[in-house]
Amino acid sequence: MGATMDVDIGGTFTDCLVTLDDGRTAAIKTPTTKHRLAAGFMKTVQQAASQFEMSVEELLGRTDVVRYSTTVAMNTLIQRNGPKLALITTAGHEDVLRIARAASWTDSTLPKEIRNVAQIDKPEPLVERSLVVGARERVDCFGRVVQPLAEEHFLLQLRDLVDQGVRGFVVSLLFGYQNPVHERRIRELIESEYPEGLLGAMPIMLASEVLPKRWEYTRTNTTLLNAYLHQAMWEELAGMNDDLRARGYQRGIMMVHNTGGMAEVYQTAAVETFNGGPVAGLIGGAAIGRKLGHPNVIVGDMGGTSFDLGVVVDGSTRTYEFRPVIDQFWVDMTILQTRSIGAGGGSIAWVNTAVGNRLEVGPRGAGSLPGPAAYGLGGKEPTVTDADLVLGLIDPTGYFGGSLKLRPALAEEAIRKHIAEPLGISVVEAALRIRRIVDANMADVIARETLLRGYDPRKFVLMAFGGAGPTHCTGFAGHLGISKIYVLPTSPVFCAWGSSTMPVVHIYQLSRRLDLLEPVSQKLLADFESFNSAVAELRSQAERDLRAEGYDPVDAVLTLELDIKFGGQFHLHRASSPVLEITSDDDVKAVYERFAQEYAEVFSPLNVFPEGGVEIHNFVLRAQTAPPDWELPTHPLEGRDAAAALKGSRTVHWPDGEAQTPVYAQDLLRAGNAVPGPCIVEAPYTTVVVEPGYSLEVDQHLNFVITADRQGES
Amino acid sequence: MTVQTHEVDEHLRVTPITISPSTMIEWTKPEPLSPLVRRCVESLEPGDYEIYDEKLRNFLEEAREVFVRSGVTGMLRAGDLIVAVYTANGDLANASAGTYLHCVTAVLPVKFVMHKYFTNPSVGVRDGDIFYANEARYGGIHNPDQMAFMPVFHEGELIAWVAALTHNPETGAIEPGGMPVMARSRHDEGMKLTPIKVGEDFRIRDDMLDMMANFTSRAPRMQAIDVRARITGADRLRRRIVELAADRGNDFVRGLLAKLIIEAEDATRRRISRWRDGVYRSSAFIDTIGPKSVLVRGTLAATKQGSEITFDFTGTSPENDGPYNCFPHIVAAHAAVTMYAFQFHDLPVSNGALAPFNWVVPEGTIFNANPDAAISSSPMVNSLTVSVVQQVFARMMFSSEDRDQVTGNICCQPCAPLVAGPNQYGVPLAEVDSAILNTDGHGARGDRDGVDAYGFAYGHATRAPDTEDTELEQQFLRLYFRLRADSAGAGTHRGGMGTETALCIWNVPFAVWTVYAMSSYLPVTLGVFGGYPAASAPGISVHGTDVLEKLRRGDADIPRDSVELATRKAISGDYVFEHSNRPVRPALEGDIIVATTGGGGGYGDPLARDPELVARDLRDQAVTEWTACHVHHVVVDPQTFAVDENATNAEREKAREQRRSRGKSWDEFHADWEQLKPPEPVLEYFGSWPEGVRETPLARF
Amino acid sequence: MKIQITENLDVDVEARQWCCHHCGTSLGSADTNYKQGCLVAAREPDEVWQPHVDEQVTFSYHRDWCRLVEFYCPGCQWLVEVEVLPPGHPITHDIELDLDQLTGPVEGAR
Repeated sequence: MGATMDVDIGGTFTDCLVTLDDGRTAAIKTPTTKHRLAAGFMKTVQQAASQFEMSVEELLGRTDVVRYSTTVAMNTLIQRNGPKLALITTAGHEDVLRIARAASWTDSTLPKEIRNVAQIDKPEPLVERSLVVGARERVDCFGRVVQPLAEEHFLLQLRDLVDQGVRGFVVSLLFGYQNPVHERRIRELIESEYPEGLLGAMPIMLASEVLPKRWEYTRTNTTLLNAYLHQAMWEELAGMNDDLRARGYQRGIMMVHNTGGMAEVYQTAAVETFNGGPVAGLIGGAAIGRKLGHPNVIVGDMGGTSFDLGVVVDGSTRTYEFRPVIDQFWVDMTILQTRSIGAGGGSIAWVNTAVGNRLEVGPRGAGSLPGPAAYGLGGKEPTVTDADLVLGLIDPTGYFGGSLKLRPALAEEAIRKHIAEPLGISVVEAALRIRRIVDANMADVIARETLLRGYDPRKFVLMAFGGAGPTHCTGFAGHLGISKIYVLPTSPVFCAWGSSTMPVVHIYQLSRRLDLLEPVSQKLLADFESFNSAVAELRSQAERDLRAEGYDPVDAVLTLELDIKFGGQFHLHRASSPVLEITSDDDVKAVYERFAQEYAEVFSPLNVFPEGGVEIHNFVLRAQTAPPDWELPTHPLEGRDAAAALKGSRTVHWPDGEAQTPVYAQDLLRAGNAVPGPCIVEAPYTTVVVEPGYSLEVDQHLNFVITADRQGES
Repeated sequence: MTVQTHEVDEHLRVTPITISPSTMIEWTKPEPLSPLVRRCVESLEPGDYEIYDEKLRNFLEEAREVFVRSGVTGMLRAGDLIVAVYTANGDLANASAGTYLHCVTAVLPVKFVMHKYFTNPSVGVRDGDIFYANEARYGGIHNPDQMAFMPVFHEGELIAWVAALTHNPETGAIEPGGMPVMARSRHDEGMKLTPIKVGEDFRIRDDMLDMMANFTSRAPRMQAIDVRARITGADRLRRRIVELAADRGNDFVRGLLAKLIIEAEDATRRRISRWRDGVYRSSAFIDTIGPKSVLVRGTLAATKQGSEITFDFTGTSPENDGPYNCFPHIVAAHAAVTMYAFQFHDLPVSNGALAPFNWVVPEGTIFNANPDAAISSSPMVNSLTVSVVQQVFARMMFSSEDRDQVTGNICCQPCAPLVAGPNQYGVPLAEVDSAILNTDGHGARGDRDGVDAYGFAYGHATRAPDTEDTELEQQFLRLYFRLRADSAGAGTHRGGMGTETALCIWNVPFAVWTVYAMSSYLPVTLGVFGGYPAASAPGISVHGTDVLEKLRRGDADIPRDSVELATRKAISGDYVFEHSNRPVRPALEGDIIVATTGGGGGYGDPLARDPELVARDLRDQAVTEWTACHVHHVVVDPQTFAVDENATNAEREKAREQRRSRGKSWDEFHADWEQLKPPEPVLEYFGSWPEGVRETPLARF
Repeated sequence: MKIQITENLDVDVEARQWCCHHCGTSLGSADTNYKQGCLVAAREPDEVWQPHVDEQVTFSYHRDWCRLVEFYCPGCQWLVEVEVLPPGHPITHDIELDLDQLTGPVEGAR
């Protein structure tokens, strides 16, 4: 095995972790170059090479794999600079994107904003209404053609769209997932009217191919997003590919997917790359949890603008988004569940006068420009970082490796003016409250993600990373009663590191409605063929893709999941299937029983209701190769005394009063060292804060293990 | 803190009232603070309120999630539900609500139990008890809304109550569906449970379940499952509150819950104080009482003084012998639907927000009917409340910093088509078309148009299913489902558009259908400040059609909107044009039912609308050329959608000229106006003209 | 001093007069209904909503049931307010301000 290179391009920083075949690693963090992401990436490669004292060519020549997660999808959407697309629907249903299942204004807003009904707005569709045309055709719920496609009429519509300058087509017809005959014919018509070269390549994407699943709103959104992101992603990847090849890289590029796996670039749909970074962090948290013997892990990444959270239960990361949203659009993809709230170092504290002068933090943030007041870049409003600075938790001269000098006087002034004076309290008291509230906000989102899924957060360990994560981890863990926290040596580049632990995963899905149990009669599914042919269809796609990536499909693990519901109920429950194929009544029973058991566990056995029938709606096949082998580097334990790492001390304001607090240097702490709280450990990209009531130990992998002195204290 | 027994008794007291349907509304005011609770509130530490308010909200969300996913009724999906936590004496502290209706009504049964049964040895309130209620006379909107509630005890002390409520579409009434249009009195409306104990020791009693199943024998299994779902949801919340008490103590829980109510009341009063004192009035009209198309009026005079508001509904039409009646607390609940989403959207969902409100609802009106009246369609008649409350607040709030909360009416004319019978899989169904029910238009705003197909005025954040979703479950094919051009009220800013669909009965030989709707003859969704009301809802259906052959042939003239369907009549068959509220009737495969939702009300003079916005709307099929020309007086090229500015200015000047010549002085106008009167059949249920007072006694058997 | 009360109406506090917000024309004493100072017209529903069919329901509203009563500023013809009323139904006195309170400070008013 040669060197590996894991890259995570985030909104603010590009992180890169290079691991050489001899075990040496380089973790590089550089500002993201928004105009051309590949430039920032190549910069990290350069820095890594110089750390290893070799040339870029030499490093790339030794590299076996580049694993890559990117925010290009997110950026394209934020800037809305994708191509001009046309949408072709069934006639009479052209408003699918505007009706958007009614309250689409709730899909990407916070509960508080949802209550403000006067000020709601729906997301603006990615296609103008005038570029949506209805093809005269109809297929019904059994996949039968009710009305044949009016081809001549469609050609007129097509000419009109081309005249309006569209640069791509999305075809999404009612029940096209059951019978794609009209969608395919429309593609043929477009291709024959406008052969490639005539107008340049224009993508034609069929919803029945991108996501052959029931329900036109989410299927259309997914297909449309894919078409919208397609071009930007290919330009970006082609740029990176060219740069890498020019400097001697020979192998392929693997893309991190929001499904929790990776695939070769050419096997990747653009929508699958959305939110790849946080998902890689989640997978990394699960992987390291397994090595350390912790099946239940909360992965918390607190950066400048947001707090991203993932939850690993029983070693599994396979909890999917119940309502996956990309940008503002509800999609029906199988995306690993992560959460993000506006709680970061740059979140703004403010006094809400409407509700009795209540102190609130976020969701608005100061971003990196103007940033916290202490940056001195024009920010006047107090942020979490300003509070941390006023409390003495962070060193104004050592922020971000010392490259950014903070100005405590500005932080104090902002807190005094906006918080302390309106509330009639001291600046320190205000800073303590800001910290307490932002910590509680993060604790709340963790509580929601665990409790709502039926788990007790106290039974989890926390892995804290991101610039502000280690600074706040004892704060929010304390609210939840979490008693063990890890801050890892890879913390600054944790998402990049996470992708090094990812297997190749492909997820295939299709909709087929089958009665597993008939209503009233309770007859078992007799039509084995419908079930088996659905799985076979997905399986052949999986095998084809795996072969193309150089894997023997025999080595891959195939698992089947089914979206099932009780008759009359609305909510589908994703259940794992004990079998890939049904050959007997016992198999059918086994499928039902597994579903009923999982359902009862999550909700209540009171509500199992087979008398109304049990329906399968979706088939989801997951094909996974063995995850890469890796080891945590181990260091000999050198005793508890950490005196050698002590840099000095400073006055810190803790909730119970101020105290002279020791400050340690991360790079001088050795495996086995132990320090009681309160204390502070300074690292190049973050500051670890150990509040009173906690203590820190360095384990044999150089992980910081922070434990509550009293178990379960809150 | 040491607590004396008499203090605890005092803290559990509920203000005594004369119990009757017309007085239950008095309990919407928060109970006075007892010294014990006051001390608990004072002992909260700084920051506790902020943090634990959020924590409580998480508990509520968790309980709601468990509730929603474990029930079966489709109304859970539409969001007709609440999960709530109350003080020990029944004041609502906070809730997770899919509709704010129940923030008012779910309070009353809890107070009733505390008032009547807490110290009554034959009932009592003990740890592990499960109470249940669905009788609107003791709270509730109508009897489809069923509620489970449980006391929360910790260390032997009653510290709170929790509840979970949702709508079940079967009540054992004289018609299926829970809202029997033919009901003439309460005796036609099926199961109505006063607040009763249905379980003890955290167990549901089977005898009680059997009784309910017996009442609702059209769908007994659904009843049994959903009773359990309510209890499961309430109990999850109860357990979380108990954990909180174990962690922080009983006084902390008491203090926190009371603080939410105090904060909500204080904030509500502060907000009301900054609006102008005065009297604000509105009247709205509907054109049906269910079985009949008749005129009914809702009248509101809102007197705002200092931090208090009195809502006086004098002038509202008399009660009738149909199900379009209600009780005062139901009116308050429908007012709350607006208040918690607009005026007080940023305050806790607690009945502290109701403290500044006084209610005058005259007996004998549709809003304060006889206790024996049928009331199961109370949400329909309260379209009037939703309309007039929005109107008076718009006028009261404009001249304050809350101006951004002023809008034209959100559509307040529910439209619910229901198709019943065996579906394409042979399973008998009676389902409302939720796609139509939940795609109402949103009101126009001072700075922009309302939101198209935003949700449902009684629940707001509700979702409509996809066409594939409904067609997979139900026995029809949609010829179209689209935003409806010209449906929104015009104005400087227009309301959000509503939608329209044509349901073609499909894959079954026959079906039975009905539509609950209104506003065919006059609008109830009003605009503000010169903005127009939303458009009429025509009741159209086509019977004995050739649509199946036409589809098969691929005919080019299959209609794609309702105007095209009705004017070109390309589909052959018998066309019926009638009021959109349509009684139960049969249909054959290929028959077509048109249903439309309302748009939102407009804002400001339509003549002041930016011509470019009119052109955009024309391009996007939000308005027709007729409207662009006759209402906005804008000249647009129908091909390029370019505005001809000079021609537009000239047209608008002409329109102003017409106003000058059309407009009369007040007295001159009245000389003609007072001669007019609607025809007698229209006024049959109005009361005396124009006072709206009952003229003949109402016989109800 | 003028205070804006709705999108189209001001009150001149000293003169105790309603005024058009757009052109300043007086609409009469603020003690009475501003509608009394407007030009008033009752319009047929078909003037605002296009009837598409000649049936019991037309896509417009029904003239037996309602009129649109419009109130115009006599100075600039601005549509100050519109009411939907059954024919002959009394006009609503929708805003009756406490004028004495109006002169005092209101917390937070614009």
